[in-house]
Amino acid sequence: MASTLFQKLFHKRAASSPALHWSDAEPCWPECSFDGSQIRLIIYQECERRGFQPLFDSSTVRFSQKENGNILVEGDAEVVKGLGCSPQKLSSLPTEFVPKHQCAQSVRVGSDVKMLGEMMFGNVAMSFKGSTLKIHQIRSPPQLLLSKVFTLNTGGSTSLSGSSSSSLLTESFECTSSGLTSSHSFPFLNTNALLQERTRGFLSFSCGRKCSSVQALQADSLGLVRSASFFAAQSSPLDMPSRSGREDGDSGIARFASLTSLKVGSPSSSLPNIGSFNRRFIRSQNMSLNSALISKRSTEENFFTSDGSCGANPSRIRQKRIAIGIIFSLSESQEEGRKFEEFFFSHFLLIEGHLNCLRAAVEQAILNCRKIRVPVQCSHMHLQKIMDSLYQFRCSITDLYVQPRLAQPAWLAMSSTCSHKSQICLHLLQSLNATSELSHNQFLPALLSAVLTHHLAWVSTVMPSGHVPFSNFTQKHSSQALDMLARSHPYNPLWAQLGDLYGCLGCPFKMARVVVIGSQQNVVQQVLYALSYFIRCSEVNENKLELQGPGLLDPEDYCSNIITSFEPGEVEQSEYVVVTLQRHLESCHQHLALHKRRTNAKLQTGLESKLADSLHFSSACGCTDDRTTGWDTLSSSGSDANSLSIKSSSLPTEASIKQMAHDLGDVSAEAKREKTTVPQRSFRALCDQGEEASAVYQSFLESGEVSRSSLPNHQIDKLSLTEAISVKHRNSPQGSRKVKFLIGCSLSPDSDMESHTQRLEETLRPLSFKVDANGYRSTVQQERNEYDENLCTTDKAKTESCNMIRRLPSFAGGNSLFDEYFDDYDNFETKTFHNIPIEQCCCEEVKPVPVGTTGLEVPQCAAVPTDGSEACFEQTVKNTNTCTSSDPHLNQRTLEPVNAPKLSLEEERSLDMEIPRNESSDSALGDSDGEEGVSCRNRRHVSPQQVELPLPRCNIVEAHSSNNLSSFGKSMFGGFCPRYVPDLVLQGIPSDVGLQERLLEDLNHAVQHPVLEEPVAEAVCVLADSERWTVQLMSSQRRGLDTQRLTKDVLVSSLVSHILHSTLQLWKLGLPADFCVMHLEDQLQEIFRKSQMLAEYLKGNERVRVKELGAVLGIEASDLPLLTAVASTHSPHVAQILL
Amino acid sequence: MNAIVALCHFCELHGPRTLFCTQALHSPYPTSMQRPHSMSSSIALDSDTLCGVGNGLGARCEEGLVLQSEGDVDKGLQMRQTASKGIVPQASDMCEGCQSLPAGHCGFVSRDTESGIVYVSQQLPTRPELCEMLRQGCVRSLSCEVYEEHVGPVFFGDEQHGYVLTHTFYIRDGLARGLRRLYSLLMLMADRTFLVSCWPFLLARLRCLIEELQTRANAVFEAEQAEVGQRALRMNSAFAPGAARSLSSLTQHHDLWAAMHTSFTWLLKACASRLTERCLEGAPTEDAIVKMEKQLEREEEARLRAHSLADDGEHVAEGNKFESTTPGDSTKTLTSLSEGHEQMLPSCPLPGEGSWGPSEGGFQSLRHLRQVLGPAWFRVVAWHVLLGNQVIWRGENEALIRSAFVLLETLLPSGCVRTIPYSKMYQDAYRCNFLGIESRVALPPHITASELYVLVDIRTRRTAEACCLGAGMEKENVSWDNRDTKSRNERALLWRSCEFTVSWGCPGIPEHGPMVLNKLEAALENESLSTAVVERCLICLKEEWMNKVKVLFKFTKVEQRSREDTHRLLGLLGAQDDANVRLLKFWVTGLSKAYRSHLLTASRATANS
Repeated sequence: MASTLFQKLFHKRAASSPALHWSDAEPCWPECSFDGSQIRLIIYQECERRGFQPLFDSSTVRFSQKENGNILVEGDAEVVKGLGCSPQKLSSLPTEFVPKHQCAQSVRVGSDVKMLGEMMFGNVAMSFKGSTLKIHQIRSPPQLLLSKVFTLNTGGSTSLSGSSSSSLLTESFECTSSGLTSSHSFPFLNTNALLQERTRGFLSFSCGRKCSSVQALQADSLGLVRSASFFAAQSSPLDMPSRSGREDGDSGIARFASLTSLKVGSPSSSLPNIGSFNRRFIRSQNMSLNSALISKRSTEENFFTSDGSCGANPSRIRQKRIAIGIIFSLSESQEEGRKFEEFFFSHFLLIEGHLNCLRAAVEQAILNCRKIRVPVQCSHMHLQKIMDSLYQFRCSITDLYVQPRLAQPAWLAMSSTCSHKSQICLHLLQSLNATSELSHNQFLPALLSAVLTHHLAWVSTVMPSGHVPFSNFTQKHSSQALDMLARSHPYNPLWAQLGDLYGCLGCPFKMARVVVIGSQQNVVQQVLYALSYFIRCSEVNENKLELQGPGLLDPEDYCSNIITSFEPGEVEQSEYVVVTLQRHLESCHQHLALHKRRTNAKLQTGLESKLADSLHFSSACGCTDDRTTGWDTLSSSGSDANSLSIKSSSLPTEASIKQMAHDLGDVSAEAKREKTTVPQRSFRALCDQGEEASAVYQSFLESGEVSRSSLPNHQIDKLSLTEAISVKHRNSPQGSRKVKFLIGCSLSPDSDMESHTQRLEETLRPLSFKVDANGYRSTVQQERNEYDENLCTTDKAKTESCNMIRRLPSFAGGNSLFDEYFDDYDNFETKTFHNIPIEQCCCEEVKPVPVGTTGLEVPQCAAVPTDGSEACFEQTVKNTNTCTSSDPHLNQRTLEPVNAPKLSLEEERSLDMEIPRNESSDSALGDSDGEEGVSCRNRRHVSPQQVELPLPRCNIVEAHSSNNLSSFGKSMFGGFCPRYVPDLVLQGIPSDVGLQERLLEDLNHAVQHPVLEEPVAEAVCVLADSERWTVQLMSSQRRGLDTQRLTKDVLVSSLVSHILHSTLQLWKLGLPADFCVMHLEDQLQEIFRKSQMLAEYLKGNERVRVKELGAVLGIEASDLPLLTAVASTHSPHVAQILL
Repeated sequence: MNAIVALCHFCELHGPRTLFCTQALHSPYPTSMQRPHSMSSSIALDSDTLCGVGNGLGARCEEGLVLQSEGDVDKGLQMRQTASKGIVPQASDMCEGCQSLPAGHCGFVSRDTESGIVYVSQQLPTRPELCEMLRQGCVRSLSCEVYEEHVGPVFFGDEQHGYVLTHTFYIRDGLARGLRRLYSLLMLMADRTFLVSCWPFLLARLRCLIEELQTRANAVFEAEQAEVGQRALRMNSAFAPGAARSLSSLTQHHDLWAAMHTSFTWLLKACASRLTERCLEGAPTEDAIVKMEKQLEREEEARLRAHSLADDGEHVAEGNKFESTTPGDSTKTLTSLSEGHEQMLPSCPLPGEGSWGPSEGGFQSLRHLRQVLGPAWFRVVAWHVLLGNQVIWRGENEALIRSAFVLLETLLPSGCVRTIPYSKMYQDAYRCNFLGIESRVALPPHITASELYVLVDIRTRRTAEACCLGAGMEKENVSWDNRDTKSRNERALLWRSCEFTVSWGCPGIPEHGPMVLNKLEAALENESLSTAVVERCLICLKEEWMNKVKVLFKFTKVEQRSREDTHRLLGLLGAQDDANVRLLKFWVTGLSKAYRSHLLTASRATANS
């Protein structure tokens, strides 16, 4: 048996050995054609009086060169060739060509310069002097213009010395320029130790700052630190005096933060992946409109000092604004153009990073010109420098776009497809095995140690999940907490993905990348493939979305299978839009349940089941029949929209509600409860300056709940409507002035009013009749033709389904409010008792009371501003009366028998609490007394509710990742590239000539212009040489390095070494590849566990006794860097201790 | 998506105005966190300066303002600030063209119950900061960023005012200057990279919307032109721009704003869910799975227990028979010093020592247990625990025994733990590896003859003196609270009343215990390590060895390899010596059923393929 298995395995292995090449066949990165010459740079300067003036146009530079002579043309051609991904001039910049540009400067500018300048600066001067970013899409010729306008600090670099970062920036670019004038590629880093010193100083400064803030805030997590400092920054400018008494959004977040800190504190927290969860949540918070801008400003000042905000400084009066624009000429072929656009917009994080770099270079060049008092246009040096940085920019973008990518990054492939899994495992082990056999030494363990230490995204993939899905448990599964987070607090998944890839997870943030060097392509690719399993990231899919429900104006444009909108109605100009409400139905289900629980109302089972049936039914029809009526426009004869909406000043008071209740006598307890509680709730929610998003949000939530809670009220006796109205008219205890506006009251001088009322009566009568007869369909169609065919034709059961389908109120119609109400009533019970009564009537019906009793407060208010608003006022009153008259009765009628006896104790209590107030106001109804006026004044703040519309449904038709341009997942894993590409997380290159200098510059750049918009403490690059079999680490932080060496050796973690060994040995013992990979994952989890242990250890011990760790906890000194890095992802205090 | 979508208009009379905007309101809490319910109730009902729910109307209502023109973007902010002072906007600032919702209309709301996001549409956002940002975006989109009739998409913005993606377009209007009006759709965000990444998607949608508007407007325009040809009219007479018309009348769309709300809401929702991220997290631990499986089994057992009750009665009688039997020859007895204190305070909850401590009196931690038993005996007990022998504790004090079991159980993967904490009679080893029995129960002879058990006898000194002492101590120190700080001696005092005797069957404990035990002892011995660290350490050890167990299981049970291979494997795992092998063999029984079946089916699948 065993032998046959062996044979099988070996046979299989032999058979599948071509798998090493299998992945190469599948293209991961589309073939892209892009040329450096498609990138054009233009620079403008804004002068105070003369408008803007062009300084530089790269297109003319090249043009003049070509005119000038053979040599230059050659040089230029070569440059262009080099840019266009030709394999020559691979590893270093062909700087020897750069000086040739010197003699080829031209002040001529292109013909489109004026327009471009206008686009970049805008045709109206802005008062804002900060740095702005713009993107224009130019149709013909197809171009993308990416531009940045910033203020030049004409004071020169000396004036910048106050800020460490900008002086560093300045310095570095001075270095760059000096380096470039000489013939070496990047010699400045060798020569300029000063820069290195500065870099170190700056970094330690920033780190120190972070640490101190950590200590000061007693914060537990990095996320918390950031969020906490963000609160600190935010609270002062937003602090409103009236805010004192209550919770605000800030403290809400702060409370969360403290929660998180608690959770983070104990690594055994139930929240899975707390690190990445935190990171994403905080991102979404920082990027929310409500809080982002203030917090960003503060960080911006620290990290982009030259980025504006200098306007505040009076010493810098002489400001010139410079605009740099990058024009990407798109290919004429639409396909190519579309591809580049997709790449451009999804990789904007990276492109902007390069733009910042270019900007800084331009800034420096211009400043230098100022210093030596040469007109910018004439300066050779200036031109040369700019051309050089432009060249770099072109290289970076082109390379990023066209360079080959790893065919199938192992981790992503494994996490996305299940079918190939064992094949991928096999391939991975083969790669690992082959590499370790080739290298014969500690190469692979060292490389893996470095990768696992710096690319920390793997940690969250081995953290045991909190929940246990029973099926398929042995495999990893996607994090539900994060899914929920993404839904409730959308963040940019691309940002999160890129952060994962760069390993920006620990504390402090570090960015890492890996370069594998070697001339043997297959060896390098093996290493790359193996590493692509350990460098992990989330998978970002682009969903094809489909609109379901009322669309953008024409839903047909969005999806083919959706309903037509706006069909002409038979009557007048009425139209309706067809809507489906599946999602809504589901939620209604939930809320129905919720409601049941909450109100403890034991609804009659018949009612329940009926309701449930209706819900099911309607959801079913939502699926089958998309043409169900959602909202429709009523005949809109009198189209004076202004006067016909809910008056904003209408005042809900509990008094009136109560009064209604008493007045009508038989309002059910349920109805009472809702009516009395609703205003209070919204009132509470309203106790808000209106600035705090959370409170606003809360209020919406509240009102939503309330309205939802009234769901079961629909079962009403519809006959009652007209009666109720008339009853109401008789009973309504309103002041004399009000009376004339009452519906049905012939005293009204407003003839419109009369007709309105009549129409109301008319429409109601058939309705009740219809309901009575249960012959919904015919009556409806006769009386009101705008019903949707489908709705009506389905059958009677549909009447129940109507519960869930609402009509949109028509606002333009002369009878808008009533119609809305009516619609909902006759058509959709839900809406009637769900929204209108609660949201509007609670506000509206209340109004007559203060009006009638308290000296016409509201009318006065309404009438004060303009006399012309009288009509408006009248309408308002009318509307409110409509509501007033109808709603309570409806509620009353319906609910009385059903709900009254089922009030829970709580509710009764809540009623009790509210009734006294209501009663007092009730008593005050008849006479206007001052006290009542006061209370009314308070209640008045309950604003009228918005009209609630169903949520349009977003259907995800398919999740497709057909091409990889749209996310970083695959685009960041380079293949075997002819030369170094700056942004790639992983890549292989043939030789390292000039690489280190280039890298160091890149790493410094990464720290100075963090692409993730978060401060980065250190950028590192792992250099794996597959010829010498060495692994080196290069860091932007050059602590503890002698000046001669740019890199340091990597410590081989014994844990990693052990993992590799045991995994490969198992593989050699003939265990299947899947199992070996599973074992590998288990052992990675062990590392995670050990890091937890280390974190725990460090809690109690300020000093690390390595001996003790080794002897007792089994942590060796060589493991410490790895374990501390891992620990810092879940327990940020580790970083504090060890830094 | 945390953004605002807006429709703006360049009014001929009033300049750029925001007509309509939709924003998404998010809960300040992540969904997985519980939203404190106190939030709603803690909002005080305080002042007159309250604002409306989603719009600033409330404040103005208070002052009785009738704001015909909410679209007054220039003054929007100002108005909000001055609203409480009762400044009334001028009627001249309003016109129908720069107004969307009729005065007094409070906008639209849609709720996403699933994610808790609320989408609100109004003419202007509530917060003045947002108003200002939106105003800026509106002005820029309609004037600053418009060049030479260029209509199309533009992205612009800065840190201070947010980032805007806008698309300008013209709507034909026979009565307007140039027979058309300039509008723009814009999306405002703080997260520029997010917004930029949405560009292609967003633009396509905006264009659809624009086309729809334009088509409708064109139809209206044509119809109007058919009636009165404006162009011809104007050629002949001086043109004075007429009253601005609202967009809904230009498009003859009476529910325009409701439709806009829906469209904008959809846009916001779609942009947020267009890209979805899938983050993998690790598989649940074996322990978690086992616990779940046990949970499922428990119901089953509950039914079985009813049946077994009858049997238990017989066992009791049988057990009594062996009560007087003496332990075997090889049994060693050691007496731990103890007198006086019999304190099993079930009433006094202990200070938390991580998850170690039992919630009532008893052993506090493994280290504590080790101190009480003495290192040698602890090692004996732990050795038996780890290798799967039956561990029997005999004594009167149930709580003490239970607390010991709670601690000892942590030495094993939870799949290996079968405990009967306190029983009136002996239970067989296959039923439990942790057994607590009453002190009068004797072990049956076949147990005492075997090597596979360890017995811990607890004898309590029931002298009056001891009780007094114990009681006294109990009072004088709030004894258990600061136990951690107590010295060893003090601690020992607490246990004076208990006398522990450990006896076991096998001839001697091998010096080379399983590696887990050695490491655990080292950790326990090192007093500088806190209990929590020891706990973590134990978890690591268990996990490490469980991983070896998995390999062994796969190798021997699933693949059924030869003895020789297995030996090599054990060498690879570093578990060649006997104790480790025994440990692995025992721990294999602790693997979850799910894991086993997974491996078996997986191997079958590969074998078949």
